[in-house]
Parts: sequence; structure tokens; C-alpha cells
Amino acid sequence: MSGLAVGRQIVVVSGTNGKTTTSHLLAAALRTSGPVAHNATGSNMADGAVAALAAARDAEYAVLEVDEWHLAAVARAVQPAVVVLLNLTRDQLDRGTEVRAVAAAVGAALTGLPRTLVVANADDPMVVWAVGDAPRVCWVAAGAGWLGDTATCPRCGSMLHTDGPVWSCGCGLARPEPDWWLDGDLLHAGQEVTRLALRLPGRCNIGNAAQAVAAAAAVGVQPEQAAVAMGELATVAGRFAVIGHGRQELRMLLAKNPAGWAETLTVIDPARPVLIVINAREADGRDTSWLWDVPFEKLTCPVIGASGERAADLGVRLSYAGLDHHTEPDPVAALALLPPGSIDVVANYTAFHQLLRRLGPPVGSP
Amino acid sequence: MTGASTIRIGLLLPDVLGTYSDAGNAVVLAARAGWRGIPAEILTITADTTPPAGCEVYLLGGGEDTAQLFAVDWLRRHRDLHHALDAGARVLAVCAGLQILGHTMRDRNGRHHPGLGVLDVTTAPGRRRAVGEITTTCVIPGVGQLTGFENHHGITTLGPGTAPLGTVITGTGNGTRDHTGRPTEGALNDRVIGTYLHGPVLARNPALADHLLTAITGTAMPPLELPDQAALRRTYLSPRAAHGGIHHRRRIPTSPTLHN
Repeated sequence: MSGLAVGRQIVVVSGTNGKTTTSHLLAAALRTSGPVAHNATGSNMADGAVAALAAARDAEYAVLEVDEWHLAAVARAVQPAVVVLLNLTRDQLDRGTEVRAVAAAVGAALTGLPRTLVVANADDPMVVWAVGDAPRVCWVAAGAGWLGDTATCPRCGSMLHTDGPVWSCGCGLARPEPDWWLDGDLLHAGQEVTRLALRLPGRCNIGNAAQAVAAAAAVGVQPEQAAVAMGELATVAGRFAVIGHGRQELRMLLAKNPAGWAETLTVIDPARPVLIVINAREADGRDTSWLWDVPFEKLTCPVIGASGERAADLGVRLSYAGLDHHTEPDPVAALALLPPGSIDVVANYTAFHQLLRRLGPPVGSP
Repeated sequence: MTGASTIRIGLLLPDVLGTYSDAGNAVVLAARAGWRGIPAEILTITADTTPPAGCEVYLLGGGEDTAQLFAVDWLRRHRDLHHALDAGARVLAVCAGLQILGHTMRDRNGRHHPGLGVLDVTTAPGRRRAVGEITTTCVIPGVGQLTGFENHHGITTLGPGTAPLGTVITGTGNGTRDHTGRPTEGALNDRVIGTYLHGPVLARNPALADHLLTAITGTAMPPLELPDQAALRRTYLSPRAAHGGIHHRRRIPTSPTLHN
């Protein structure tokens, strides 16, 4: 892999949520300046990185989405110019990976990269702890929608003090002064202001875009130029795609853990029916307990369908949230029970990709 | 103030011991009481509050190692609450919650950390982490089989005055055996239920939730049919599930490689 990496500007994107979206935003930005190698399918272990680098040998830039556990191996091999670290929250706990252990592994990976610039989210205490003493850091206040894993300090276990976005602990761990920060969709860096007018929905994607702009700037692409290119992106590996299905139009949303759902609940259209599809395969995490960390009580959609291989787990959760719903494990059969018109479909990882394959290509895709 | 008949459910430290989504146990208890016409109220007791000591039932959940030690200190500092856990209220304690109610917890470096001593159990680290589906036969009459997801590193030994909550059918549980050689799961005395089962355990096992409500109110709970509940139980308790079959279901074609 290191041979394939020589002579390129490589940006690695890691974190629990938003890796795929952020790497697509960043690839769009860098493409304005030259060809980009990119593991666009979300194949984010070492083999995916090798394949992406080999497939575009002449590309001057590479954007590699890398799983948190594989960051050390990939980064050591490719010596990236930039590592983007988005957020670290609970995901797939049944792999034996409490989030602090993931953060420690990320931290160890970064200490082996003295020349790399780390573009890190200052609003996530777990990220700040993981970054630790990395020599070159650019802090972005990208937001943290869900702090269920960081009521206590990642470093010492005491309660964190929070005051708005600012947080600190008696042990000294505290939110760093950000180099880039957001005011709505305006991204500030010193005196410079860039508008992030995205087609992708949701506050979290503004945060992802902010970190992508900071990373693009680090490899020489101007923020304004990056922002314009990112604003044209409408779907990311099927996420946010709109798919025609008979008399229904399905907007495809992926949410695979409580933090992702916290953002997705702000994107779901309360006037539309919603179909929720939940699997519990290895890539999803075998344990469905996380459904109880999602505040489904906030859903106000007129019709709710529960589907997927773990439709019953979801159905029980929805009943305790006081929500009427119908349950059908097969998602295509479940769609047949919903009315015509626009529908939001929210699925976790394997459920999302299974359904995409069964439904065929999105409207207007090449 | 609430009426005398309201069940107050004290959800202890969900901000600290919330890693494994056990706060759902409070939602299940409150809803199942409410559906029977029994008013119930969840008091969410976070670390920055002064805890009320008069709840009928307290719930503790699972958390990471540093959070666990913080929780022991916090609970010991609040003496009225500590006393209520020790001598008054009903308690459901899951995973780290179970461990901190015991006498001692040994960490991976061999250090002993004192627990609250509410349950006659001790915990030491196991050789490998126990992660996966678990089914047990519950010792409480009428509760039947329990299903849950375990995810822990602890080996828990029960003292002479403490029964297990169940005997293990599939999975690991406490990692220790009873005097007849059967592997045990959880701990039980006259007021406290301790278990390693997540899911949350009361969502997967409504009979255990109703047992708690019966113990709190002193009256039997009438039957309650919840949509999807039977299907959920079949997912995890069918003979096929007991042999790991749920991991290999192929209702829908899948891609050969999935990365995440």
C-alpha cells in the first residue's frame, strides 16, 4: 500500500458517523483541483484503501474513508497529509469495543504520524481526548448532536462541566479554541467566511462539510471553491437518494446508531409516512438494545412501518413509545402496506444496502 | 407530590451507566404499570442532582470501567440512597450495576475496588469478554425463560446467601456454577435482582417486568398482550435461535462482503 501512496496528497477520514458522506464531500472539493482516488463505496478497511489507490494511479489526491479500528494500519502505510476525525460515539458495542477503547486506538494511531495534520472536531470530548498530544491539529467546531457517551470525562471519569458548546473537566481536558467554527451555514476561519449551501439535508452534514472544507484547505483547495463543489452533491452512496417505487417516491436515509438517529429525526418529514428497517447482522451490531437510546417518542409521522430482520424488536420499542405501527419483516412487502406518495425510509447498515439492491437505481442516477 | 399509589421508578445515573441502553427498563416498567391503571413516574437521577431516597424501585444499568468507579463513589456519597438500596427499595441492576452492588470488583490490573455491599457477590475479570445472545431459565416461579444480550468481562461469584437469577441455557452469564454444577446468571435476594442481560432485559422479558410490578404493588398483574412481543420472544427463544440460528437467517439475499 505504501508504494501506491508515494507522491500523492492523501486525506484519511475516520470517526463513528459521517465517514462516507464527508469523504464524498471532500472528494468533490478536491476534484476541482485534480483527479482524486477515492474508496467511494464505503469499503473502509485496508483492502478498500489499496483498491482505491490502485484504481487511480495517476490521481494527485486520494480520499480514503477508514474504519476507526483500521486507522493505525492504513495511516502508517500511506502517511496521509491530513487525517479528518469526525466524532466517536457508541456503535456496534457487541464487537467488544466500548467507545473509550476505540478512542484509545485512534489516539495511538495519531501519535505515529508526526507530519500529518489532524482536522478534528473540537465539540466532541471523545475526539479531543483521542487526539491528545498529536503535534499538528486543526480544530473545527463541527457540532456534537449526541453526547450520550460523554457525560463523564473520557480521560479521568469525572463529570464534565458544560456551558453551551464549551465543555471542560477538572483534570484539564477541555474544548480547544476552534480554528474553524459555524454560525448556521456560515463557516468562519479567522476573518474569512464561507457559506456552506448544501443539497444534503441535516445539521450534521453542515458539520461534516465544515471539516471537509478545513481538510481541503490544508491540501491547497480554497474554501469557496470547495464549498461550491460540495453544494452540488445530492446523494452519497445511496444515502438521501430518491427512488421511484410504483406510485411511491422513497427518500432513502441511513441511520445505524443513536447518534445517527438523533440527526435523522431532525431530517424525517413529519408529514410523510415513514418506514424503519432494522437488521442485526455483524456489520450492524448483533445487539438491538441501541433502539432504546433512540427517542422514537418524537416521531409524529402519520403512518409508521416497522420492518427488517429485527422488525419485532423495533415493533416492541415503538409500542412502548406509544406509537401505532404495522410490522412486516420484508421491507418491500411493508412498502406495499404504505400509501402512495413521498415516504421517508430509514434503515440501518445492511438493511439499507439490501433494500437499495432490491429497489434498483435511484431517480435520475447515471 | 405524587399520590400515595404512584410507583416512583428511580432511574439511577443514566448519564454515567447508560452505555448499553438499559434505561429502557424504566420505560417498560412505567408503561406496563400505566396500562394496568397504576400510575407510575420515572425519576431520572443524573449525577448532577441530589437523588430522592423514597422510590419504590431503583434501576441501574451497564457502563464502562471508569464510569463504574465513578458510580460507586457517587452512590456511597448519597447515604440516604445507599440506605434505600441496602434496606428499603426494590432494585434491578444490570451488568456494571450488578457488579457495583457487590462486595468487591477486581480490575484487570489486579486492584480491588470496594462495591456497595448490597448484594453478596464479588466480581473479577474473566479471560475473555462474553459477548452475544444469552438465554437462561429464571429461578423466579412463573417467569420462564429469559433472553438477553450479554457484553461483559466480569466473572461473578455468588455468596452463600444469594441465589442466581437463572441457570444458563446458552451463553456465558456469571462464568461460575452453582453447587450442582449448573452455570449461573445474575443474582437474586429478597429485594434485589442483578443480571448481565441487556436488551433491555425487561423489554425482552415482560414476565420479569410484571414480577417486579407485582412485588412492588403486592397485587398480581393481569395479562397484557403487546404487538410484536411474541414474535420477539420467538426470535430469541426458538430452538433454532438457541443454537445460534438467528445469526444465519437468509430471508433476503445479501452481498458477500459488507464493510462498515
